[in-house]
Amino acid sequence: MAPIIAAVSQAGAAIGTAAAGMSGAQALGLAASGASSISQMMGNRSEARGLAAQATMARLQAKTESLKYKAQGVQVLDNILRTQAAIVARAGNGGVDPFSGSANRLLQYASAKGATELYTVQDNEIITMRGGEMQAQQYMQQAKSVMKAGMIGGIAKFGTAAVNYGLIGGLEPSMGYGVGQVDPRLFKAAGLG
Amino acid sequence: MAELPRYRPLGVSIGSMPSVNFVQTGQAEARVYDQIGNSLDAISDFVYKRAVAEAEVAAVKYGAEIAPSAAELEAASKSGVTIDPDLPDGFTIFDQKARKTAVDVIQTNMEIAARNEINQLTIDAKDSDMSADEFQLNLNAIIDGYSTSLSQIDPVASVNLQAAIAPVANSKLTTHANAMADKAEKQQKVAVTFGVDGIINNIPDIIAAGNKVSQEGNQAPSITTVDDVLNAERNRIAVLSYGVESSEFLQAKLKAFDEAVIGAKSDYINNWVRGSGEDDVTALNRLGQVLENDVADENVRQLIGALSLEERKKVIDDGFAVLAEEDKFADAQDKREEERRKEIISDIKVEIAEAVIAGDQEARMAAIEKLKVIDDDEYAKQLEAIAGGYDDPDTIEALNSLTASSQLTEDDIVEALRDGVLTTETSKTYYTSLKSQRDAKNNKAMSIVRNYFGVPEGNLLASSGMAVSPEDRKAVVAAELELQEAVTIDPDFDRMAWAKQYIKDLKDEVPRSDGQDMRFDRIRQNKLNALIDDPAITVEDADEIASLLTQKLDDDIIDGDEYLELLAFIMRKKLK
Repeated sequence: MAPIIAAVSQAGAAIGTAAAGMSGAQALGLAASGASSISQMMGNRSEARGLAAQATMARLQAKTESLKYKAQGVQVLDNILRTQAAIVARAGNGGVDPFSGSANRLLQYASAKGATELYTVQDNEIITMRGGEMQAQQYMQQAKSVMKAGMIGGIAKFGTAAVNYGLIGGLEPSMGYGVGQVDPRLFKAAGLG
Repeated sequence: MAELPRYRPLGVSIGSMPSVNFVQTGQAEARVYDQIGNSLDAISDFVYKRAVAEAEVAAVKYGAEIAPSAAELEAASKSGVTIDPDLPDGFTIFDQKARKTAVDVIQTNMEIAARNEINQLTIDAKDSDMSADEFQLNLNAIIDGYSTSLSQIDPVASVNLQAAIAPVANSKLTTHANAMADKAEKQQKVAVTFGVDGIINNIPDIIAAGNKVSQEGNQAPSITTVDDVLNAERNRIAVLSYGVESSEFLQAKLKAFDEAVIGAKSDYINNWVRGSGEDDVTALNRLGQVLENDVADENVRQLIGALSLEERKKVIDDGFAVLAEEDKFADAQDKREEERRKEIISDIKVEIAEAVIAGDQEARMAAIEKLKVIDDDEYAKQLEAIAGGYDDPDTIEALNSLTASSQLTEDDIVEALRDGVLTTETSKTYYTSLKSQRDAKNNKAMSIVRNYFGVPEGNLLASSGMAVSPEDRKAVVAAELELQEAVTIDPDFDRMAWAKQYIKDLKDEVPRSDGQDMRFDRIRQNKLNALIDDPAITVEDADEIASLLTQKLDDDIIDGDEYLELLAFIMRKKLK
């Protein structure tokens, strides 16, 4: 922010120098150039705002995608339970202890497979969230750049115009004081000269 | 155990997120702002260009104003003052343009000033015959002065200035150098011509000097003939003519020399022929000597001996021309002597007439005696006139007629006297008239009188158509006599005023004697006024007037007769 303030300050100084001894038409031209600079900055601001909104959109889309993965994880857990319940039920119905022997190994197998699938789903959720966040950050970064570019471009444009107008130049006022300065005779009249 | 009912999922899934492009919207909005910015930029650009144009116009005006004029630059250059104009040195468009304009104007003005100085220098150089080297130095000084001065302001303009002036200076230098060369050539030619002409003019002296004999020590005397000297002089002409480098000039001068030699020899010989009065030999005799080539004079003999046939012919032709000239001179001299004799006779006749008027017989005889050696016939006539006679009326009438018409001559009077038809006493009247006729002023006055009486001037016989009565002629003669008498009162009196008064008195029928007295008194009065020239003095101041007249007599302004005449006039007036 500090460089921008410095740039604005310099532009102001240039305007002050240029404005001294400037004609009405020149002041109008300089004002038009200032308005043009502001317009340019506002255009860039609009573009930056679009990019910021797009970043929010990207986050929202990532969240939506992650919820899908979360639902898929629940389905994986349901499938584990269903499979284990079927094994226990079949084993119990057959008179086999479901928590020992091959039935127990089937239960463990179902848990292992289900866990593996659940972890995969969870990873996908994280990846989706992270990807959306990264996309949003990209948009935000772009928005900042556009904003900064608009600000600097506008100030530079106006500063250049101000300097150009200042470089037109002209005769010094014959009374010995410039535009914006107070007539020395007034100081004298007030007893200050 | 019977299988229990369990929840069966409907397969609800999370919906897809709709895609919204906010970036495109922002970009579209930005394009709108961009278009607005472009429009504003166009306005600003237009204003900027306009402001730049105005500033440039103002800068050109300002730059032209602050640039020193050509006259100032010229004056500064001549006085050695360095002009340092305070030109704008900023980086604004105005300053740059103003500086450039000022520099351009200064360059132009310096070029004008330099050209002026060069022109003036050219004139001065021409007037003072300045050498080409000095002229070039002065030209360089002018160019360097201006270009150095300008280089302190703008080196590029300085170079441009030099490039502009240098061709002018070179052209002037070339012209001046050529003019000087021409002048030098002309001066050389004049000097050569002068020298050659001097040689040619010296030819008569060389010929007159004759042959020269010189002897050194015991050596035999050597003779340098006239022709030797002339040949040497002729060669000198050739040598001198090298300076002119013109064969035509040399040929012309050699020809002039040769002609001058022949002419001078001829003149010398013919001068001898004409003779200098040293002996009694006539020109004809000397020309005979030349013709026979037997001339006594040694110089002339040597000259004739050295003459070519052509030169000899010219000398003889000139000799005959000399003889003819001598004859002509003698005739002219005789004529002059005759005219002189007539003038003397005329003067003697005037003397005789004055003696007759004065009644001085002795002076008359003395004058007549002078005629004896000059004119026998006139002498005899005058002697016969002295014999006298009577006044024949016809003769008187004829003489009056001649007098009235201003045709009277001494011969007419003398003839009448000689014939005895006019007495000496009466002849005085006519001699007086004759004297009056010789005065131009008198003649003018008498013309008025003659006109009044209708008497024509000139030959009366020739104007026979006009009838002139004897009375009128007598009246004219009487007027002439009065005029002559008035002249004796005041020789400078106003004749025309007298004539007009004379006519007026006749018209007013004033008796002649009274009129004459009044007219004479008027002449005396005028003369007196002119002498006294003081309106305060009146006729009552007779003593003072007498005193003044005495003073005029002492100062020889008036003679004794005039003094007595005027004194008597004053007395008469006072008595009246």
